[in-house]
Amino acid sequence: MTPTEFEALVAQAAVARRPIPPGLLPRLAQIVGREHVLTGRADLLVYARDSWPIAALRVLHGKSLPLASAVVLPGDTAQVAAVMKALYQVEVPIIPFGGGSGVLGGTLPLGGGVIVDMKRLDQVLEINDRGLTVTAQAGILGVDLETGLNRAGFTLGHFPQSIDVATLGGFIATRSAGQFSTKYGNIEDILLAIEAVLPNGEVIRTKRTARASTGPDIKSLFIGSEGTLGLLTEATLRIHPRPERRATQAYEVETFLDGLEIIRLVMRTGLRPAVIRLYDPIESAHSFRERVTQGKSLLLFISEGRSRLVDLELETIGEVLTSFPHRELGPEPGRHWLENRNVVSGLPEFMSQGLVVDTLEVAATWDLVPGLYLAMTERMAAVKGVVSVSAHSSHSYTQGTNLYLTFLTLGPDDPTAEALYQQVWTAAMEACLGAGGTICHHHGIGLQRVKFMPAEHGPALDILRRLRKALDPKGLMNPGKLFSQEAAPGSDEASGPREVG
Amino acid sequence: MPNKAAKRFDLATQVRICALCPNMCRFLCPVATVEKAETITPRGKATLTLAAESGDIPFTAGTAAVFYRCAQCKICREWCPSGVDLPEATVSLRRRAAREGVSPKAVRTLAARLVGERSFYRPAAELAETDRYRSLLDKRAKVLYFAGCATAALHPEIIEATLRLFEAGGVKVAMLRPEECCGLPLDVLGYVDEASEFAGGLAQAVAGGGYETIVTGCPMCAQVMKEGYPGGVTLGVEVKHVTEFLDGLGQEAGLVGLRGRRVPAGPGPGREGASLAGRRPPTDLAVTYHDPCYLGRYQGVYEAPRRLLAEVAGLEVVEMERGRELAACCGGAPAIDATVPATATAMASRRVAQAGRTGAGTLVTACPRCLEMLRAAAEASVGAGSGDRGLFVRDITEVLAERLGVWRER
Repeated sequence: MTPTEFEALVAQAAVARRPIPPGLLPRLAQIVGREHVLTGRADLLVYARDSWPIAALRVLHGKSLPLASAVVLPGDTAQVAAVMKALYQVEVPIIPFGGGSGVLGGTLPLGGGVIVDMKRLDQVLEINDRGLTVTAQAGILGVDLETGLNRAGFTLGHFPQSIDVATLGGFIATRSAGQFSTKYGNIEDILLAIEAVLPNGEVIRTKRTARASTGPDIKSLFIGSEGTLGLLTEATLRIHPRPERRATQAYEVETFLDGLEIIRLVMRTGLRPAVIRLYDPIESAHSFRERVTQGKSLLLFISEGRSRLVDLELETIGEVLTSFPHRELGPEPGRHWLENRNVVSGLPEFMSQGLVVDTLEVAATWDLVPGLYLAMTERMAAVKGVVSVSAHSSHSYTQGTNLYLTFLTLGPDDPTAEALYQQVWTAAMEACLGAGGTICHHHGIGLQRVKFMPAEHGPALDILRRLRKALDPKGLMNPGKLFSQEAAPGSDEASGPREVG
Repeated sequence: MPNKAAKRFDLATQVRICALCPNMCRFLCPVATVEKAETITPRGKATLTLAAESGDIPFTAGTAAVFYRCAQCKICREWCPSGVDLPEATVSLRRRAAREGVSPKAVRTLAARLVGERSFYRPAAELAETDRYRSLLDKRAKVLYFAGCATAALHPEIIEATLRLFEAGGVKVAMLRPEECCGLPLDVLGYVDEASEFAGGLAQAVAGGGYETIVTGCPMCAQVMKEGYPGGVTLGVEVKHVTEFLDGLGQEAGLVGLRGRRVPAGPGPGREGASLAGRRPPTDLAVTYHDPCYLGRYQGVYEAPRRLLAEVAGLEVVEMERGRELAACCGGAPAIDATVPATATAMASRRVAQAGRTGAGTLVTACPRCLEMLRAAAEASVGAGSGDRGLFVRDITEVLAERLGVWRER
């Protein structure tokens, strides 16, 4: 049997795999305490995966995954620094780990190494009322941060679907987006300052300020760095007083493309509702059932803030709608969405029955979005074995929006399922690049999107390679993730094996 | 929000679903919240279950130990839209561990002691002190009051408070002598045959007494007596937790109901002379209530204790951030307490901190294990020299009896 794409990747990484040097584990135990160094097979097996479907499928089918040599759970920044220094010195790969909710394989210890689980750094350090900022440790779960802020009368406004699972450090390292991003911004808009430990153990802090013109933004280098440049230990973020009121309004529109046009006009008007979501007919029927007519699309707005502004915002949105055929559905679909927005049980339920389900998200400017939608859904649906392809838009901007696609395939056995999964992904990414879209809106790159990075960035990717090389000369930070470090500098990235024309 | 319309899948499918899920309930798992390691999360255990089944990992003591780091609190099942009952799958692996002799040493010791002494804390024979309450008991009564071994060993004052409440409500009760462990701890630790043996003994004692109703103050006892034992042993009588029973007394006509009694004016349920930094004074009528896992999520008893506190005792119940269906375990789960006691203590501290944030000076619960864990955590949390004597942690029967003026803590 030929190895799957993943198995080939593991085999390649295994070549460089070396046993960890003697004395390292006692040294780590000395730093973090014996009980915080895990080396049991049970622990290593659980840490071998995140929420990437390929890893989940292998668990389901009893197939092995590469294991780390140990997992350490440091308790503060000083311990993180000492751990990094110890590992870097003896050249052991370092794999940062938050909540393990990533869906692209970003925490898999491909070639072994030591996983650094950050969840013991879980404290809210300061809520600054006057400056409207919060400083918290990077291992805190999103939900615990938000609950702590709510208690004090504030909100972060960052609500990714993984809020109950993912950590603050994970939000930053994967360049995440929350469901209310249209009003509050994505993590890059919310983040004000970081503390991070560089691969050599050096601790850096950037300044908390409203804005600065002090050269390139250092903290931004770490947003979306996926553990390749260092380990985030602390962050300061913008917060907001909890909104006075939240209101929802839903509409049924004739077509998905009509809905996209309405959103474009709403954003162009300068409105900033917290949430704008548009579902194609398949997802409208699936998520809202009898609330929407078969074959039509559901468009949902949520506005929050000062009561009078909320009224005005929804009223102005209503005015935009008057130029399009539509049916008002009132506030109930929005309430239904708010209650069920983080329920993802359909995916594991389908997969436990032998289907393969995954989601992927892309983005483009408004001029390209309709073409992107048509090209991607068509190409993905054309892959043999695909049962369904559907889409929604959930994060909008003045200049464009994202498309969030869900596909369902029949995967009768493990190798077939994995091959089919990769075929759909490749079709999706090639269609996206061909239509001028960007290959990822907010899940990040991990392992799954690595091969598409050269086509995404072109020769500019080399800037990121040089940056990574400068901070991590030994290539030990989360190896194999984000982009391949091996491509020869100066090679024509666009003519690589994944060229899209 | 938890999805009430939980769907049904067989247990093997439930484990697969859990392993395929992004671990959406992890933030609620009280053990994972303390220990942090992925291994302890529901998905971690599900992943390990599949690996143990496929042979990817040998079922050694190290692997088995993970399955004892579950409080059986079922908060994950409560949250799960697919209705996955991972605690149930976990118990089946504990049974395998017990069968194969790879359960943790602390668990084996505990199980052996339970079997030998017939009680969780002290030999059952030593707990047969019902003479103290002779005047409050009636051998011919059709209602059996089953105190439970935790109450008898750790909080005998609860027995008296409860018997005084029965007396006030005009209910005649009998007690078993000696009263042995209900068997539930053995069952959840994986010792199914031993648990069945306890059940047999209890069933015989109950049948011999001709009782029609069993009332117990221990939610664990109530759970196993209501739901039946492994091997199909059932007691064949009505079983009620003391809060359900007392709540019923208030509602049934014809009984001298508690509800009709006038709550005497007087001090609140708090501790006299307490200085409670940032909290309401002890004379305040505000209390907060901790839902024991076995009473709430297992038996669905959420309203009875709250009604008793509010309507019978005349108190204001202030809710914690997460109560009722989402109340966190106090750490008193036998497997946690036995194998990772520091985790159990930390779980209790977290719950006490949540209770403290309500501002109420008194934390009331309805389970002797919860009482023990929370009281110890409240006492440990008291800052040296701060003058703060911490939360006053009390059993619901004590608070009720005291407020009704039928009993006073000595």
